[in-house]
Amino acid sequence: MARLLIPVTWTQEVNGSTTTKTVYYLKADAGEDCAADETPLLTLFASILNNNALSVNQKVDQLAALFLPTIPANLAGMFWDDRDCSGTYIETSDDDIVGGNPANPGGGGDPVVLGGTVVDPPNDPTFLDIRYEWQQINGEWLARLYNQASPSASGGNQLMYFMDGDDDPFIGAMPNDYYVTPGTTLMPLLALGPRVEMYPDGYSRKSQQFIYIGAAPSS
Amino acid sequence: MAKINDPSYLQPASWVSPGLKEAPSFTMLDGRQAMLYNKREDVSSVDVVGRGGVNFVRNGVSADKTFKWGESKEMASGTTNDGYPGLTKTAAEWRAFARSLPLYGLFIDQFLEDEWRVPNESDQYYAFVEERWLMHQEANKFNNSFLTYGAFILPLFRDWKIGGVQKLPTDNAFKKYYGNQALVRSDFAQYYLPIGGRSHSLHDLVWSSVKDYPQYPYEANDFCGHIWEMEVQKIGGSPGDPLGYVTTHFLETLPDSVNTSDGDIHIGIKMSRRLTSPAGLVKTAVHPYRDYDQMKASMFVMGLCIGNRLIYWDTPNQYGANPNTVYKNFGEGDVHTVEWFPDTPGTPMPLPSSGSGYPPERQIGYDALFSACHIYHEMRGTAGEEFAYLPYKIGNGSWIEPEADGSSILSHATAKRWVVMGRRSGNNRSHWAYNPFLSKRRSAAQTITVSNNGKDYTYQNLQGRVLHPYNEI
Repeated sequence: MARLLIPVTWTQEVNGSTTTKTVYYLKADAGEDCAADETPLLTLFASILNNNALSVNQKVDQLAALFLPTIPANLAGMFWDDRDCSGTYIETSDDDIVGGNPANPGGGGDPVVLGGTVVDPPNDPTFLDIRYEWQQINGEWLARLYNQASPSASGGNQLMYFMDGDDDPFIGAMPNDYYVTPGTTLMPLLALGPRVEMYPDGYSRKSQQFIYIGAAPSS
Repeated sequence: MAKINDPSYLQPASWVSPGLKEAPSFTMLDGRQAMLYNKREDVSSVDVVGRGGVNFVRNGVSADKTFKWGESKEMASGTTNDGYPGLTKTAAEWRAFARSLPLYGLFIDQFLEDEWRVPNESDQYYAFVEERWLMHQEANKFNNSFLTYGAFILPLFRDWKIGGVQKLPTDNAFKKYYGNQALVRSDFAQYYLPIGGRSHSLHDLVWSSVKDYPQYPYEANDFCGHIWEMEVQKIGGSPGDPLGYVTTHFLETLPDSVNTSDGDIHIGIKMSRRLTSPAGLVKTAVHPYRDYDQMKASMFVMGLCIGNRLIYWDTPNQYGANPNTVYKNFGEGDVHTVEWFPDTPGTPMPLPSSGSGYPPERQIGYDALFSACHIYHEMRGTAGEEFAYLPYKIGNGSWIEPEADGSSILSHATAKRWVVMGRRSGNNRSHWAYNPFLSKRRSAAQTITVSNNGKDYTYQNLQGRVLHPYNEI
């Protein structure tokens, strides 16, 4: 199988600022055409995130021709999988992800959609202001989450971080080693109150933020 | 084995629901049905039907495409009586109310609430549902009607407590129903058996469902507990019965503040969003969000794999799609208060020239529903088969075999471990793994090996509280 190399420029935003710009080369199997009545060989089921200009199931050469003029300046990521003439999925060892390095947060070597990271602005930045930083640990890119704010508790109350559905919250402070893989969605909730039980005893203060950790930067 | 991902049209940056406008049309197999509200002003409800496998829409479509959420206050003008004011109406009046409504694509009610609320055990409620059943008989139409959501006459999960006493999920109080239809029917006779000389049981007239409105950010016990409810209902019912899963997108009981709240559940938390033109920050009061992944997993597993009706409750409010508008608060009764903080002082709040403006909260429940339906549809290569618990092992540990009596969810809940189900059709295999007890942190990830009808599959470093669906077709 021949390989088709396509240059892609990819930018990464961290906390609203563009910090990384890396050139990738997409690999694609440029196979032979199928018979006229068959699905094109090795058609690419492709999707450029935040750009809908491409359609799916197009031949490699057609797709390549479309790639170059349509790549958005802020391409966040893309994925594809390989299919044979009958349209059957072919499992390959290829890393079928661009904009995601390392490959698959879920393991298994299968394609996964990764877009740009999204962090909703905090409602109360003196209380909960979740941010992230990328770290490469054992060759794996992970996002470490932390609270930029420094809230304090008083009057018998305690700070309780409900990060991702734990039965018991983190009490007092957010752990400094809270790492997640690309593709993770979180809705951390910080509450200030007298005890863990939420109902019917309310909190004197609470805040929540939506976070989606998208594609990792290049190594 | 290919992993099934979220559909690519979903966009984490968007607060509107892309699925309502962009999801491809398909029909889910195995009699699965999904329903929701059309939350977008820029999309016709008629156009929503069929997208992403959605069968019914709450608003803006013909009756046969409508998912009707019945409310007792529709029966007559309001009353302030305590107790069950609906009992002051006669059975004949309830029958007349039933006759006043058209035949809907799907009907479910909240008759335990509102002005004319009635208990499900009452003759009045029976009269209503029997009349609706008769109407469908007369029209020769399938009666896609459901018992009151959250009905007390069905098996109810209460944090694995019996009489207020904490039990293990594997306690016989929960396990005793597996393989024993007669016991289910006798213990929940108000639904399964004709009582009081009636010619029908409620089960003959309306289908059952479970209500999953999580109260806390931690949903693991709810996940397992509601599966138990569904499995007991399946045992009590007949093969192929419709079985609903009713859910929503917010955490119901998180009072805003001990200083300002009187316990009202319909106030919440503030979420923020930046606008670019005009530049500024908008803050809106909303309910706290449920976790997207836990919501999606519950919708897929309970709404589509174990049950077959995915029912999403929401308000009928619709929103604009322009992110540079803010939500227009409609005054008294509207909980979504809006605050505007322009970067340039004095910049007026960018209210929409018409309509409601951009949503006050993420429509993330809709993303979860569209993803759940997408995953189920991707598993169509194994359609026609039932999902069953599969053997699996964690790392190099011992195989964890399904319980012979079907009660695997109880042992998984007790051990706080993965729930794995799958099915096979010929050479095609589909399965999913989900651990509601495991953190999403990288350090908590686990490697598991799943055995699906003679073939083993190992998955490295699976993340907790995330649904992992796979397909081999």
